[in-house]
Amino acid sequence: MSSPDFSPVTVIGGGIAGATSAIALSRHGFPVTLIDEQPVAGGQIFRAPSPYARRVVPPNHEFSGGDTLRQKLAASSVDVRFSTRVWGVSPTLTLDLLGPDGIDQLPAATLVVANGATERFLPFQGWTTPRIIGLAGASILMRNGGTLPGQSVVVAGSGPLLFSVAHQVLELGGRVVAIVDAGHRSDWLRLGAMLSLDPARLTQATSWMLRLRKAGIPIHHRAHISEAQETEAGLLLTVTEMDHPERRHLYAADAAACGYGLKPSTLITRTAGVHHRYDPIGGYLEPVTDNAGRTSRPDLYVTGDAAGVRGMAVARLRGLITAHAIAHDRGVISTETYETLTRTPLRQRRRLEAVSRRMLPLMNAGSAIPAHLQDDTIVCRCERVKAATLRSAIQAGAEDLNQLKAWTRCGMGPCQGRMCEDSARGLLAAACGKTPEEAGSFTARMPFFPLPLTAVTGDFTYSDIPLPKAAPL
Amino acid sequence: MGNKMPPVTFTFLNNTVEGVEGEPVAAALRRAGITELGRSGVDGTPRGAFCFMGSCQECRVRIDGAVAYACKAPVLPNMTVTPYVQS
Repeated sequence: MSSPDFSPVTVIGGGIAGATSAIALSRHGFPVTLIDEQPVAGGQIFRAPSPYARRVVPPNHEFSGGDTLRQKLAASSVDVRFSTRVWGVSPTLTLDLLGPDGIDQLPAATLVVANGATERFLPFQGWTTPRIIGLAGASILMRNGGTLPGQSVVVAGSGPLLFSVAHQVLELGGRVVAIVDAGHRSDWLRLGAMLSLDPARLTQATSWMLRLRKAGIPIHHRAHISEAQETEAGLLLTVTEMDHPERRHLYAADAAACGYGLKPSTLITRTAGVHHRYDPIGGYLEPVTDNAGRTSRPDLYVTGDAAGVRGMAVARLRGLITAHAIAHDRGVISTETYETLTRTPLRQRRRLEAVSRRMLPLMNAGSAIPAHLQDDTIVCRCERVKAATLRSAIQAGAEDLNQLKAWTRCGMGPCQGRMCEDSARGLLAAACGKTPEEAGSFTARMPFFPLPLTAVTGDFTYSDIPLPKAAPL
Repeated sequence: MGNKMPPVTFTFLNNTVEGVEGEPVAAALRRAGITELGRSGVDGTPRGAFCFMGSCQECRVRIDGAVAYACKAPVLPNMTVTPYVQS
């Protein structure tokens, strides 16, 4: 064992994986800095409830789990930088930050990326109306904001979040008009059969399903919202069956929540240049990692859902395993100690991951939707680029996603392609007969989100510009 | 629970909106029935909070003049919220 290297570790993301990893790293003796964009730790699942939500949302597992995590973090020696977003990363892993005091740079000797997952969205006619929100967004609004998207809600998309969101609507006293799932009922039954491996998920799923059934909520499988129309009273939604497009169902609701599963957030890892692969089952790009989160760069680790979506329980175990791996790689603990420390978490993780992997096809059940978008459907929300515009560009020879972007502005708006990348890729792949992987991805660009010019200039004013005296004539 | 912070008010355009100090602006606005936070700079159609996690950029508003995300920015007493106009 060479002499231990206690150089500092920077963790991006204060969710379950990042916070768990940061705490474990600090226990190994590393100076740890944790960066998170929210004002307190918890990530999306353990997001702290708002002062209003604390009044109206019944205490639940996510609140108590989040509070425990936040207490542990506060009691640790981890240096936390909240309300701070990473907007860039250099090839040498210097991070560009925007925090409460403006912009800053932080060189990271070792970087742990734990920035989680983002939601995948697929378009339909009329989906830009403000009455339609993301499915994960609806969960954040309700669980962490205590606020219903509307009194009556259609819950649509794919993956387990459908049933969680439907349950949350009921819990806040709202009405779930219908649940519209792109997945096959048989896939859910197969998943259900595996849930004995994950008793916590089994208990939760059973209580949700019993309550939804008791409420008599219609559930459509292999179906999607194909159109939303604004009416005087709210929304009129057309639900189309994917295998029988002539079968349609109409629902009136105040709002709809719609999302098609989660995908890893890869802007930071792609910009840092680690190897990525396209996971055809998850339908997303993910960094290539080993079972401890090591990447193609020895100074960069990825942990939690950012390394592939596996859910909350796995994220905690991954965070822990990554911390032990760094301690091992830096010569702080021996191989024997590493194996002892990780034996149980790795075993638990294998069991839970068997269930998580079953969820990937359910989350990606909408993958065929982009190929069949109607021509006048808006694909890129920011630039309002329609499917027809993309199809003409493809006919004119746009063969990969970046070419399509350059020709049509699809993905060039302020969200930087986060909302349209999956649907543009699916449409392009179908139109060219390519695989989604061949269709490519939008090149990751800095800044990762729009930066206010005032943040860049700070207190600097025009009069601060040193003007040299004019040379004598 | 047991948290008895009195409601505060702020304005959005011509509306006086009630909220709890510290909660996200978009949540308080939605309870007041306000979902449209601005207009698309491209086709002028309404836009509102969509992803609620700081990715989509559609909930951008101005709070006392400064650009902010309505899904994240906390409600403060007497603040003035206006749409962010894309140029």
